[in-house]
Amino acid sequence: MSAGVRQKNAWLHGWAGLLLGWLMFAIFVTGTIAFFRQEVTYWMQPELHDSDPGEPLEMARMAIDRLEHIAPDAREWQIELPSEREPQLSVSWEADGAEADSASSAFAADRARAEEAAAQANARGGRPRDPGVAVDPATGAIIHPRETAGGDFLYHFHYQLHFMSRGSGMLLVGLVTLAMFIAILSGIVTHKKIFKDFFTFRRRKGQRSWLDAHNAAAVFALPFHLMITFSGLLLIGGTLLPFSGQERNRERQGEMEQQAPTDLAAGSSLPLSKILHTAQREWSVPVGRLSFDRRANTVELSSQRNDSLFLRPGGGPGRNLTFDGTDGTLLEREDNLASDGIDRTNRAIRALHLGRFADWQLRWLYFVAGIGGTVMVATGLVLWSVKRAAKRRDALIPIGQRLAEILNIGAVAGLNLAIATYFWANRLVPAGTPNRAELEIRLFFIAWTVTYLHAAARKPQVAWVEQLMVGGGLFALLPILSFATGSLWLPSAVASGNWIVAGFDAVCLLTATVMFCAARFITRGSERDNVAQDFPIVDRSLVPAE
Amino acid sequence: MAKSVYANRREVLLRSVIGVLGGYALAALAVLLTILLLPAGGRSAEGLGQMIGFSFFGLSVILAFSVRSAKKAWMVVGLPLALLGACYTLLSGGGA
Repeated sequence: MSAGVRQKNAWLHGWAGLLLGWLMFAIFVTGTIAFFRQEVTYWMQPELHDSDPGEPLEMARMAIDRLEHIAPDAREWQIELPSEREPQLSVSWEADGAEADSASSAFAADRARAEEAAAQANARGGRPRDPGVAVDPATGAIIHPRETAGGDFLYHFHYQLHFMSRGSGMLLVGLVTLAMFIAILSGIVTHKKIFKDFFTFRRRKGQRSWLDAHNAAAVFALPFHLMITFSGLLLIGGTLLPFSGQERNRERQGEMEQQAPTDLAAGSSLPLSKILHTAQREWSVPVGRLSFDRRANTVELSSQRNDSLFLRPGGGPGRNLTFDGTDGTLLEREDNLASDGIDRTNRAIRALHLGRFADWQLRWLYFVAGIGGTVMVATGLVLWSVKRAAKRRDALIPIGQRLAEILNIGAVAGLNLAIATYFWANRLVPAGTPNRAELEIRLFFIAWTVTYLHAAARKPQVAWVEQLMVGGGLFALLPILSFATGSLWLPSAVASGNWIVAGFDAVCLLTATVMFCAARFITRGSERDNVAQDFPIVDRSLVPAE
Repeated sequence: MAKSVYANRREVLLRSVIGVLGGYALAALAVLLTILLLPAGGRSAEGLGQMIGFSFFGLSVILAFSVRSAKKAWMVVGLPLALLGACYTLLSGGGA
């Protein structure tokens, strides 16, 4: 490949990466956290941290007993058994009218509270939610965890943003993904010595160090970056290429027809142990959800996670078993497996992006690769302005470059600070505050906005350092804040074997360390520059010399 | 990234138009044609079409910015575009 082609692709790489790079970074960060979406939500509901899961059969019995007291009139009950990722037992119900008075008097208040919370959540938008509560598997006590959007907020942000309709958010994310795709492809073309450069790191060389870091982060997880970008395109494909010629979501209307009210089946007569036993025999994965249709008197069991890439990757579990509610005979086995090769390819690519099939080891690998992506985008953004700064020797900074610098600071350091604020808000906003989920989100955006203003008010290097230090400080103190607000924190979580909370706190400390190191790196860099007056002026494009 | 990579702004604009918009049109045609040609149809064809379509898009942009001149870029992306467009017009017209 000629040097000209590589140079042209370096140009394309720079512009494709910069134009939407700031959003790209936010999408990468929130998307990476979304691999631990359920774990983050669990951390953000410390009311749940004290209960330990028990035996599935005992827990299901306990849940049914609670449902009979709370929602005897409901036409549907759902029980979520604890899983590795969401270790709480929760129940929810769907009643025709809100006949809260039908709950036995001891539970009327619980029911009213749960229904109020669900109404609030549904007013916020998102997938419709049934009212529900958590149940302590050991004591049967009803737990009302604090209202929070939890990891779901970060997850939703990474593909539909916020403060705009779902459609426009997805379109914008789609455009960013297209730019990302181009940036990756042109980045590969422009990169001549992809293998050799991977082992090159020139420390303390200003622009070169940024370039080497950018290359290392990009090449280290290149298969992941390609996979996650291409699959992201496919997941959002219906928005980007809406030419399927057929309307979606029409199928569901048939199911919604009103049934005449009939007798509601009692849960206590259910042969639970037989049903759970059958499910265990049929599946290689544990049971996740039990759904009771109390009019038809059937129970549907869903698998906890997918055990195949060819199962439906999202929008519900891939495997279901339906049982008769009276004698526990297996009525139907449903496996949403792909029918042909095209469908399989399609599903496998999407499943790889969502990673819902992944066990915890693979999930961590996803997380690390995602971090690689965030480092790739961040160093790329910084490289862009460092390069321009290097070329310009006069003191006058044009407005475009100043703007790019402010956006870099707010997008990279500021976002991390805002996420730390979101977690702080979770611990500090009182559990009973009305609309507290929305308040947490607001505080996140307020913090993020402030970081841009701060970046505009301060000199770039000072702003970088200050934001990294404050953000790092917030992350470092987060475990202590948990302790101070009476929640489980790193030492007590390790002691009680709660690996989700322990892992969350450990990642916070690690994030803090990285942010402190970055701040130190920049401080040192600017000290050196005061001597040299500028970044080392090496007018080197992304193309290594021949 | 200096000015020397492309002769002038007009050059960049011409390449962007054919690369990005032409590439998008190619992707759209790929989806439409796949749905038309695949007997199974439905979601499965749509998915395959999108896979092909997005690959076409990526290829178009890279090519449009890599070839020697803007004129060549228009030919490299324009020809397949015309070809697929003609195919689609013929096939969908014949079916109606």
